[in-house]
Amino acid sequence: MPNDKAMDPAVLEFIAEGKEIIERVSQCLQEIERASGIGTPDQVGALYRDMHTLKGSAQLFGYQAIGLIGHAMEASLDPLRKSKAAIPNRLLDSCLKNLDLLDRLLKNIEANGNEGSDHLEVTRLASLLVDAATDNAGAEFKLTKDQLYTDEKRTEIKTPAPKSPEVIESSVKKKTPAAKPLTQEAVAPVEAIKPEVQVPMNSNPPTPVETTTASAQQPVAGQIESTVRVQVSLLDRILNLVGELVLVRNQLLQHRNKTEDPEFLATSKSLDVVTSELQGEVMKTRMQPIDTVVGKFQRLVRDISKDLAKRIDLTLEGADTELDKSLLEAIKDPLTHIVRNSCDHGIEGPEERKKANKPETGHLLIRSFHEGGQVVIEISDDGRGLNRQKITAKAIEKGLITQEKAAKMSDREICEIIFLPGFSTAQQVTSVSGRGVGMDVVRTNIEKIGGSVIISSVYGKGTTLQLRIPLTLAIVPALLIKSGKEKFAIPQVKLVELVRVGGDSNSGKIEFLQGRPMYRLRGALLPLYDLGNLTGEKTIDYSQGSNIVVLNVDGDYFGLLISEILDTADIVVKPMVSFLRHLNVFSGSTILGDGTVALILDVGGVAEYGKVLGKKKQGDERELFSRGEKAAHAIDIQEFLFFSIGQDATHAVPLCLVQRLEEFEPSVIEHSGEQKVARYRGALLPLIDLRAALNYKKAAAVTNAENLKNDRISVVVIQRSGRNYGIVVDEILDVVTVDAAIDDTIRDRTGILGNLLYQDSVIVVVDALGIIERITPDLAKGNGKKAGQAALASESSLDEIRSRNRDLKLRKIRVLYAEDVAFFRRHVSKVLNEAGMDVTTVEDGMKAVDELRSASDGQYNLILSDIEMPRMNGLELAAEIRKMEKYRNTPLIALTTRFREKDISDGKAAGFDIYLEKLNPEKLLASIQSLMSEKSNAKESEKEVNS
Amino acid sequence: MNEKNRQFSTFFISDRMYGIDVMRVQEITRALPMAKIPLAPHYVHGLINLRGQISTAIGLRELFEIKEKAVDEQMNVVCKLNEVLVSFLVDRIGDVVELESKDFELAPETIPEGIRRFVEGVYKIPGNLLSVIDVDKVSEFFVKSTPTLGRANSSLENH
Repeated sequence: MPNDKAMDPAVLEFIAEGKEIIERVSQCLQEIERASGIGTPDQVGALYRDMHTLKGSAQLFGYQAIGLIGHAMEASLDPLRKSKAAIPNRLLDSCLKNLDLLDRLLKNIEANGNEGSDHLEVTRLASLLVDAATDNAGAEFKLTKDQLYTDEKRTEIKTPAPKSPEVIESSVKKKTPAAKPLTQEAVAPVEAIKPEVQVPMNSNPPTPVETTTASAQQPVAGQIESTVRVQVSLLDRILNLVGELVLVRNQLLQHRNKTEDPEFLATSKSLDVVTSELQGEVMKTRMQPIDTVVGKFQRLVRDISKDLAKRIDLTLEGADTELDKSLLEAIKDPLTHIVRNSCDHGIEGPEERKKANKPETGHLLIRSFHEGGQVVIEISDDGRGLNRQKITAKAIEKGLITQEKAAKMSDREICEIIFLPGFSTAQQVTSVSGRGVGMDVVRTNIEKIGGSVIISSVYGKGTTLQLRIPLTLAIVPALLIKSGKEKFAIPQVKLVELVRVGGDSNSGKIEFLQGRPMYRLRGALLPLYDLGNLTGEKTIDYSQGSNIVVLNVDGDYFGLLISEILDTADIVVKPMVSFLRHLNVFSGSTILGDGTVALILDVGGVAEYGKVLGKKKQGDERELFSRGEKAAHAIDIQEFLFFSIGQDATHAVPLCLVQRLEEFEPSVIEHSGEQKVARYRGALLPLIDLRAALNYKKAAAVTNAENLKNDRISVVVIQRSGRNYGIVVDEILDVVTVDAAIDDTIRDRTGILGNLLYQDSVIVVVDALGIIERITPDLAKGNGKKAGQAALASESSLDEIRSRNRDLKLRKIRVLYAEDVAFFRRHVSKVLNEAGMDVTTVEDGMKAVDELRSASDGQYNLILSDIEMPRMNGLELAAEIRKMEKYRNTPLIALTTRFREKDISDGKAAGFDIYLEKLNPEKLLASIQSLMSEKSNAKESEKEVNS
Repeated sequence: MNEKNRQFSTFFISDRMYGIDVMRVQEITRALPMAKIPLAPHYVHGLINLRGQISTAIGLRELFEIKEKAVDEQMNVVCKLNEVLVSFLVDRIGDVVELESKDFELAPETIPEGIRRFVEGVYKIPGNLLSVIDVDKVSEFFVKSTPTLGRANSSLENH
């Protein structure tokens, strides 16, 4: 072929079309393969047509090798098209190999303008195909012959479609000469199979299958014409221009406020609408379904699993989720790497899986969906998961962390290790993975496009990687801030939170460590950098209060001190001019709605410039894992929701109880009998007036009137036993982190857990669950009086039990309590301590098991556990405990907020003796008492029987 | 127009007259608000919104190392250098003049290197001397000084 053809746009068109066909055919073949080789008539018909088209156009341009392969594939698929028989594996395999070759040939044309001199391979593969097809055609022949008779009977009834024989006829005629100019070895077998193929075709043209494929062809032809190929660069330019248009529109809209000309207002309004719509549509032109990338993985997984002798099934979900084309390109390699990793390291071989009691076929799931303006791609496998021991051993061996550090690291931090440069746990370097260029590259590449990677893994159960990708690169949601006179934009993806510090507010202050500003963020030191140092605008008077923007740089946090937070906005990113691109504190600039220019801060660059983060890249593990230490530290801190209910003291509930905060219009509040309710998420939400519930002197009637005066009613939604309850408060104040225990020495009324000392004032902690419990029997049964009495009764019984416990001097009860929420750990411990028990607390099931294993005999004679905990939940813990000889009969109590019947029965089945609700000390103590005496009685009677 | 004649857009910095080939000038605008770029070389004044396009403002006074103080409002001479919009900040705009090659002379060695590196030559016009700025040389200078701009910059100030 002459080289200058490469310049011909028609050839480019041919290449593009050829690639599409190869893609489509490859997918289709794999679908057929998964269906054990049986393709639907539509699929086989489509395959046939595609190969036919490719062959035809290749011959038109004189690309003979492609023509030959296309022809061979077409010919070998033809009999199957008629017979509905299964495609044998051998044929499928050789079809796929031929597709690879076709792809290579097309690439050669793209690069050199000719197919290259791969003739040997072409003839080899083509004859392979022909061999496979000949085998097949032999079998096929019989099949079609059998069908021949039945079909003939049918044709008697049906009027044969007159056109199809000619169509087929002519295509057959074209085929034969087309294949001729090629090397003889290849042509000969093709010719040889020809008659066999043709026999059923010519003698029985109007088969029903034939007619359906012929008719199916029509709409496809129509679809092709409805699309136009456009250069991506043109789309980019259009996108840019629309970006500009959006900005001009924004400027116009600002101007609109200054005028009252009705015509201008109307015109600008419609300009606004049209621009928004145009922007949306233009963005769509660059959007492509994720399928264009993940669709290829079917083939990849198939090939890898064959190589590794594993059985892996790939499921794609949400592959139609769309993403900007340039982003798709950018995530292609990282995704491929992740999929390879999952197949190679993650999913075990069939033998190992069998031993682990798993189905022999491993499952890989790629799920894509939209969430919060981002596209989330999740790749999860049900393989062996990350092995803590192996990873730490390897990391220590490679000098990435130290032994002591490894022992202290949480599982999450261990997972993070695999993102360190140069880390790979593969035992051997295989062709699939393990070359040491690993997850660090994946993370870097994803973060380059403003995305993030999160990994989670359960040892023995599987690993999930979650990629979060912005929808498009061009428009980025950002926070606009001001330093001095200049405005800056910070991409939202880097933003963790905003903190207002100092002044007269009670929110801590900026401190200095060796002259460097620091802030205590929930107990951990957050290094700060004053943006004024960068901009040269020293505007922040720290004592007057300032704003901290907490930013995330590759998992490390620092705070940017700024003088003013302006707004959030979607910005169009413009790159910096080349001669300023070395300023890595900026990633570009943008034009804001008011026409001013703002620089976009590159958060990583600012951190580097301000030297607020350590030199992580040099492998200082201390910096890397400092975040983990913060997290560990944070466990012992409790968060409370502060609110006011018109009393002198501020009231609070533990934040862990709060489901949501809502505001209701007074008009939505209805009455069911005397109970105020609001419709909430398809159910009735009982509203509890906290003042009335706590018997405060200001009457409920007054509250009502006051509440009604406000536009909206603030409600704290709390869930108990799977139902929502709304607690009406006057005003929600704040969420405050308190590092102090609840003092319950003063409890002047029921419904109060105790008091907190917070910044010199006393905060009343409300027993929300207790109040709900007291009120709910009223709601459920309508017998208010009895419930009231019951509440009183339980109140008295608490004291009773306490005194009884002390009086009876029960055998010392030593409790192990597993609970992940600090508030409950403290509160329940306190209750139990006061009842004279010894309590040891652990944060999750795993730690509980460790503790129980290492404990001496009889160290614990009662175990309490939450149900929902990280790492090992309560049910798993119970099962584990019951497996241990020395704890087989130890009383086991579940303390939980999950309280449906199913939960209770599950709990009992797992081995819990009693299933109780959190924050009900009376019941807890009573239950412990009865359970302990029951068990000891049982023991005694056991002894008696034994003796 | 004579073949050898060239047209220049002229402007002044501290009453010194300069010219840029009109074909290289995209437009001339009044002073526009600009966003300062911290850490940028001292001659980069900031970014300007030029009808939706971002243009980088370059102070010719600083670039040419002219010591006299700038006027408050500087005009923009907007050029496209390598597909990048650059606004040269100047004190005052002059006329567009057509000059004959007979009046042209290469820049004498005696003028300071700080400015000579950007000057193509000098036209002797009645009552004034017009220094012709070669914007490509300016562009080259940016490229050359890019990777170590910070340091190159400070060494310039030592002159």
